[in-house]
Amino acid sequence: MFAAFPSASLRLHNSLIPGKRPSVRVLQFIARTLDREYYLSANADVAAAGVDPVLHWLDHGAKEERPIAAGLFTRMVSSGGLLPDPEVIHTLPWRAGQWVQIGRISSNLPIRAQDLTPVRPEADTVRPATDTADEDRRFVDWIGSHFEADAYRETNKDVIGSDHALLAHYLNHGIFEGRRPSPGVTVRYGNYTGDERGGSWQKFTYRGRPLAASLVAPPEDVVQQIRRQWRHESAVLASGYTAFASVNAYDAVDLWSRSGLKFDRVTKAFPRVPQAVVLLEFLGVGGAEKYGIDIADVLVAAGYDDVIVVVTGQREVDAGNWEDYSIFSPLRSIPVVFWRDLTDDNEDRLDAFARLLSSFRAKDILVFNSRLGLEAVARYGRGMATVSRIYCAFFSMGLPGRGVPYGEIFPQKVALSSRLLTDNARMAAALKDRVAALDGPGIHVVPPRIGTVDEATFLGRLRRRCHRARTLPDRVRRWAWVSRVEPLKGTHLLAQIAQMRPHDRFDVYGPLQVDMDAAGLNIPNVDYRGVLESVLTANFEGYDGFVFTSLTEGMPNTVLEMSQHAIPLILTDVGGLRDTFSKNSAFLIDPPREGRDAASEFDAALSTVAALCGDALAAMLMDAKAAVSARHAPEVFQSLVEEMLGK
Amino acid sequence: MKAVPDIDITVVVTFHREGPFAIPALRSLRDLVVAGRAEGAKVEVIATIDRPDEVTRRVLETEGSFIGRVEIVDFGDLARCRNYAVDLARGRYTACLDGDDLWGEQWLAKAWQEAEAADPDSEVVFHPEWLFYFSEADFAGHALGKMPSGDARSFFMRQQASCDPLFDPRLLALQNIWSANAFARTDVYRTYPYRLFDRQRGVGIEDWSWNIETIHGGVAHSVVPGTVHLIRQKSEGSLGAQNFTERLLTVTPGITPWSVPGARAGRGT
Repeated sequence: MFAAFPSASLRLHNSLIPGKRPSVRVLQFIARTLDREYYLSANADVAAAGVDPVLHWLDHGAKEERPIAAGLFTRMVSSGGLLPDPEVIHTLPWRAGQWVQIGRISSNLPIRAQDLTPVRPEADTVRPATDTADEDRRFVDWIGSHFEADAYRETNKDVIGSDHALLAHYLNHGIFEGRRPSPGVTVRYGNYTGDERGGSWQKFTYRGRPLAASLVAPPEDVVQQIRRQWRHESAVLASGYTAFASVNAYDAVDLWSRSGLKFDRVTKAFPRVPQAVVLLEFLGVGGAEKYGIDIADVLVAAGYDDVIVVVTGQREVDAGNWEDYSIFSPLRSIPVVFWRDLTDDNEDRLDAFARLLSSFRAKDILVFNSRLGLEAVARYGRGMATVSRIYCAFFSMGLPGRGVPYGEIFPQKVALSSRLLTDNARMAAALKDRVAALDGPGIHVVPPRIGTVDEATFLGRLRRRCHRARTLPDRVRRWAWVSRVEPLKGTHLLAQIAQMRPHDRFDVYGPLQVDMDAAGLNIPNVDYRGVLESVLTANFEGYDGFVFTSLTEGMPNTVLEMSQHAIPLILTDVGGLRDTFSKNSAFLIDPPREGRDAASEFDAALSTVAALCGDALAAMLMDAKAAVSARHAPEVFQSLVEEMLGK
Repeated sequence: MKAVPDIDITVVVTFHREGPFAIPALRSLRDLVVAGRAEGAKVEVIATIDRPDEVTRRVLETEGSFIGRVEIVDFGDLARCRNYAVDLARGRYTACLDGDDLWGEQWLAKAWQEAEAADPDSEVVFHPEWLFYFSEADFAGHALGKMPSGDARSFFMRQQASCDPLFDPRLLALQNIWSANAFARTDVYRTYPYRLFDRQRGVGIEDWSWNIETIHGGVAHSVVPGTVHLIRQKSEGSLGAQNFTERLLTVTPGITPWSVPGARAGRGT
């Protein structure tokens, strides 16, 4: 689809990352329709950055609603905003619940040159055409009194005509193409979401969309003073003897113009200085997110006055209905700020972010898989650590050639200023190996907490399992597999095991990161059963065991939660599982490596489990339950977190 | 050193390795001093040269004849240079300037007039109303007409007073909103000495930190209408570039812009 843009096919960008992907129809339409020359000329920042126009539009321009060709506007709408609009010529699906609309902006040229009275010096007589919408009139009046036809003519050699025609051109075309109407005037069309305090910015609505205009220009006596410095330094007038007076101008307090931050939203988001800041990449159902939220929960319980969770990689609208998930229940009493909603363009704003974090002088800053947070600590950690204790959590190292987790990238960059935190001893050892020589603040191991079932529930499950094992010796053996469906979770190992045991059934639960074919699981005795709402509350009594084939892990919550189901655990020996489980409580099998046949070991273990019953089965399941309770019960977790924080 | 009654203004200007950039700076500074004296102010100039290179030292010798006192120091720290020069200052007011910038010739005289007109009991720091950041790179897109090239790197910044309705001390958590070009009673600088740069701990940015500390201390920041400070944009060698490269944070022990008690005193434009 990117054949017309060779550079585009060489790089991975956001639009091609699963979950961030717009529809194929949009990709095809934009690749076919976007006018590269127009886009580069209308967007000096894109040209300066040397970015492919199509990629830029997909990554940024779409959200910023930048036109894709002369006269073609784009805008994002939610399903509820799909109202009939005669200007819209295409409506295409973008992502879940979002649509992108493409329309013609000048098809009916509502303002004509002959409809405008002279521009200057009788500027106050400028009036739009009578058919112009009322809300447009304010802007047309304003721009009419600030429009400088000579300057517009001089800058836009492609436009000729009378002063009136130039103003009409600006209103019908130039404004959409990012042309400046006159020196000192800056107009932002289509996406005014800046500082609500206004300042030098005036807000209008034009052609049904928001617009902000600003006039900041130095007075003539200041211009003359600068000009006189030319005799000392010619570079003062490098941009032009007259033109220098018309370069961009900002107010120092205008954070929106200076750094793309919405200051009013920043102050609303942080009404008080937090005592602890917890940084998460996104609000999704994942181990790192749960771990971070659980620690935030303990901070509140430990008496911290103000704890705040800052989500750095996601806007609130993209987080969807996160409040519906049980792992986020602690956030009902903890404020959540979406950093990207405080920026103008969904960008990182690393420097501002680090400065803001530092300015809180929070007692503790804890980072859980937040890339921006890790970057901030890596670059500004020395200074941040003078006012706050910093903790950066890492869960696992990568496999050679199989992805690069943050555990591979950041520990050495943050270890001098940050305490390293992990949920398993194996990772702690790996971190120690990498950073011990740096002599940083240290490494903490805090195993994750899980919800445990009460004794009666567990014993009921255990009794039914033992009864089933005893009374149905000839049953078809069924095995549950619960994880994200992707190769790193060992789906190909699972496939090998299933093929070795053609009479057994294997049920796969979890979100599909790849389809079953790509996971190697499109085989007769493997069935995909969908996503479980909760592992803890699901019913696994019809299964003979839980098979876990992941190739790399931190401390997988799923395994800990499965232990509460009184179900035999057959696990690859990865991450921190050996911290909790022993050969008495689970089958731990080394993951496959070159020349190592893990599938046969799994096959043998499954055969052993299939034959287990009576006391041997009960002892193993009770051992597993006891081991998990001893290490991962909420009170144990709270105690370890408090110890780490010196409470 | 105590203020001497017949000195109105001590101009403190700091140099390190500006090289040829010190030539226009010194000539612009001379204009400032001349304009100030023409308004009746008694002006002394103290220059510090911190670990200078040979070129900068030679430029000071040949272009700085109007400078009353030149101190060659070995601090490696702009904040320490300023504090050192402020200790030597004999003027009732002190103006701090950087040795690679230029100034509209009205700056010193107008700042002095504003300061003299202000409530003598109030602590006020005055800044130029306008900053003009110029870039030599703009020669490549030099415009002959009225409109600059779309690629122009030069830009203006209009500074606001702390009594401006749009000022909020919390802005200082995210951006520095006043340049290092400051004019205030000398005792204000002595009450709030500049914080030293600490590379090991990743903190510095003496002017930004000073702005936070003075605002926190109840000092008003005001702007002088019709004045301008011309700031050279350099890709390397400037303090701004150093702050960025070394990823420094402000250093304001015990205080934060979030805890500034009422900062809306002083005079605005």
